Amino acid sequence: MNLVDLINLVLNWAAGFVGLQYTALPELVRTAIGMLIACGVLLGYVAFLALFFVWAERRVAGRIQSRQGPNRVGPQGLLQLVADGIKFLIKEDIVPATVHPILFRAAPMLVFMGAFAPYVVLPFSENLVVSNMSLGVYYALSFAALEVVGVIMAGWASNNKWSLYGGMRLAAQMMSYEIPMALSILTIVVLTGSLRLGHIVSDQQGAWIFSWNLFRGFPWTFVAAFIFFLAGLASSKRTPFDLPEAESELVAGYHTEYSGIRFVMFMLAEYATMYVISALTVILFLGGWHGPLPRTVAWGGTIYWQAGPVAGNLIGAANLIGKSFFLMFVMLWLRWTFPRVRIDQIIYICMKVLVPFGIVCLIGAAAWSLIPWSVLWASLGL
Amino acid sequence: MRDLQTDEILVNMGPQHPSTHGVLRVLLKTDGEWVREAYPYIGYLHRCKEKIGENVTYAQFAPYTDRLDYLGSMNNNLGWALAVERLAGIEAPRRASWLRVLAAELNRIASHLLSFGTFGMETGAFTPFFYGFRERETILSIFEKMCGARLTYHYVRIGGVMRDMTAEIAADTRAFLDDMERKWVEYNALLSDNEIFVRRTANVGIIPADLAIAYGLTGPSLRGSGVARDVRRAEPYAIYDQLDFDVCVGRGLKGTIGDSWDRYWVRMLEIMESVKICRRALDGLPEGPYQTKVSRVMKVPANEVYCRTEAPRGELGFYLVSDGTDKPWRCRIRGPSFSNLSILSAIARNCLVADVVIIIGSIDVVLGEVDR
Amino acid sequence: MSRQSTAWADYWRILWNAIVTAIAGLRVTVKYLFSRPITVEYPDVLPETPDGWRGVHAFEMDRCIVCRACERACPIQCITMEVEGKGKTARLLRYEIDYCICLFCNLCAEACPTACLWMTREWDLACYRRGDCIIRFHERNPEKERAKLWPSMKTLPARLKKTDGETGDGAAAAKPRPGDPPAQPTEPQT
Repeated sequence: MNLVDLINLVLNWAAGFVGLQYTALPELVRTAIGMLIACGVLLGYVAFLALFFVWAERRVAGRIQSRQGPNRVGPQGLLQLVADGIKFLIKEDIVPATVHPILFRAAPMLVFMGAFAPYVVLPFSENLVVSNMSLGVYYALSFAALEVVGVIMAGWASNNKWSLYGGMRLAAQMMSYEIPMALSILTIVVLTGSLRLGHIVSDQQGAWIFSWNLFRGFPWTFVAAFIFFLAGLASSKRTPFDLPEAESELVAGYHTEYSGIRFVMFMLAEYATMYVISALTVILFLGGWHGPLPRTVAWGGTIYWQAGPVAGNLIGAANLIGKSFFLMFVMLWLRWTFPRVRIDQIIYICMKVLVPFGIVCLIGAAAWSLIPWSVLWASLGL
Repeated sequence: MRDLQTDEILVNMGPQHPSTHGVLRVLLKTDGEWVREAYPYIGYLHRCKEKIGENVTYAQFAPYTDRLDYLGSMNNNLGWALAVERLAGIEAPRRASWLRVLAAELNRIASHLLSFGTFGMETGAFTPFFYGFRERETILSIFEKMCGARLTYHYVRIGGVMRDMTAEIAADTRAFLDDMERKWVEYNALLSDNEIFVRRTANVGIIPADLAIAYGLTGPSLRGSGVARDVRRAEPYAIYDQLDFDVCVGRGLKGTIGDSWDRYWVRMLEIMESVKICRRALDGLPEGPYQTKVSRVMKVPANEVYCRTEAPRGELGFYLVSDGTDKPWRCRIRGPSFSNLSILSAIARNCLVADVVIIIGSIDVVLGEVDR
Repeated sequence: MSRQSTAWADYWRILWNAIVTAIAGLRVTVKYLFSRPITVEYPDVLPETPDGWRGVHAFEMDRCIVCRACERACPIQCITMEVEGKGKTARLLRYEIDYCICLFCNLCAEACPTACLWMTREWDLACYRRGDCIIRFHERNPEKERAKLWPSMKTLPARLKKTDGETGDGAAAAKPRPGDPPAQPTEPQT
């Protein structure tokens, strides 16, 4: 039972309301319609994310810097990005004459596709997921490669040496950082035994914080969480790894020549990737939708209240979104505190710090999972 | 791999660039990310100040000196006033000398705060810039009360200073100095000791001491290489010979002596030294007049003088030749950033593009005194 | 210490430093995240310029003795005067200051022997045409002239007060000249 099924249920009910027979349509068509609407919902969510987080970024940046952020457009400046979005939409579509015509126009789309495609497997709760793929985690990781292609295209097709620098740096950075990301994900997969995101979360079921993966496989998963978060920061080009869009050196790096709606797609892609990394961190390490808000109130064996399916899903979604937003806030905090790391130092961090630690964590977790803990505790009399 | 032909590309940095501290154009010959050679091109801010100096009177040129190194306006005024006073044989009263030193050192703090902020911004840390400006704002408010302007002060005049200091301004200054000491610790926690910042700036742009002296470097750029040369100590002017302060030199704490971190750290140390000097100046301020009566149109007998002072960026020199009229015959300005910038092409070799930005930032040029 | 072991020692030292200094930096920023911002929210809140601020000039034509000292003192010749007649019977026809080039250095005000020219606490000179930057002080009602140019300046009369605590009647003693003994501290006018 996933989001597509839910949408089909809703459509069925709505069609019955009007008097039409929804189930008369062939299965394939119904699935397709459900998926399209689900993707529309996701796109709306991504747009809302971008809207909220650009506002949050600017306000948080302002307050960290002892100044106000935008606070004039709308209450507390919340409509600032709406105003900016309108501005971007009505801007002239400037395509410089010397760029490669097809690649220049295709690059933002590729980057956005690479950022948006993982949303299909990202669950909000047990049933609020578009596709509960058995290869969920692998699918989410693989689309970073598509972003790399898009960025190189943008850098090269812009016919601008500075953009080329940004594109080249980013290719090296993103491809290198997929390795520690994969290693830290494998640490969890080895403990859980499944690549399915829903299974990984349900494995962390428990009443309290120590059932989270962060502490379950201490210290291997603890370190792996930080490795994954740092590698994800590099993958979403956030400071301290934002060299490709290093504002003080390359003006804007690989997206210097883009303006208007094409630039908005790069920006949306950045915030979309940020959310994917945060959500994946929460799902893999921080308990997913088993969070601070309880879905079962129990004490000493008796269950006082158990959330029903709808309430349970909503509470779970609130947990997951809340924790993801907190991690995104941490990303903002990091951005406005630290300087930028140089490209050779970025690769040094990846290859000489994160990868060795990742390998150690993986081997440690693998060895951990082989130990029969229940037998061990039983033999010790616990 | 040996017969893989790689091209050297020419990349133009500036004159409109977020990190070149003004309108500076640097032509980089790069091989991929590695910079083989860097050539600075200047002149985008040339305003013919030395020619103007021949056509206005001595008092009228003082507002023009404000705009040389516009971040260290008090020091420019001071250099000019001292030069003319030496030429014409005028002596400023004691209170004026103490007020001059107070103003010059406060301005040094303001200038170094800005350099701290922009250097942080070049490494990608945007927050120290705002913190530096927040402290600078307090200094500028103090200057507003002292002389009525925020950037181009025209406070130090020939024969004294423009206005006297009140108790309110002194209290504001003391409050600021106390606050600055607290904030200095925070700046170090945020930027100076930050490992990412240290990795970006240590061992980058190393200037050996003999090369620095050969290129005529002065100021924090020279002292960062370990050479303890400070005009305030070597040829004291105003009341610097009566004040006790340390000359800050780089010691290679995080890398090699003479790297970018050392130059940056010399500036941070100088902020603290200037705080001390300001406190001593406030404590020792004598009573008395604040300006000697000088006729607005003074005819200076034929003479020549070279007067050097320690501006925030180095040794600011005024070479003045008078011919008996009320206007100078020749007014030559030695801007410290001009000589400091000349070392760029010798240092920015075989480094990454990102390092060139760091090097320019650590030398801390202001194009106002490079181009005049 | 061998090169190998220093390399290993460096590696762990750098890693440890990175973590420790990162946390130290984050503590600083989070402290200011929850502090009050220092922004002055212009244009709802206008900045307060102190006494002695060197802003836009104020000129009392009735007191001017047409000595042209201000015109001569200006380093950049931004004061234009048109005078009819000579000597004691000279009449001032035009008195203009071009604020496109004025340096705000105060040399003109210091040169004036009758203290009829001084710099006020006014700073707002924004206009839409370059020609509007030239203020014609000979117009009988300079406040009205400026009000025409800058319709948003509601607090105009208050900010045109003289600095250094003087009142506007002009009959009192002139401002202290350089070299005079320091004046008694005056109460700053609010």
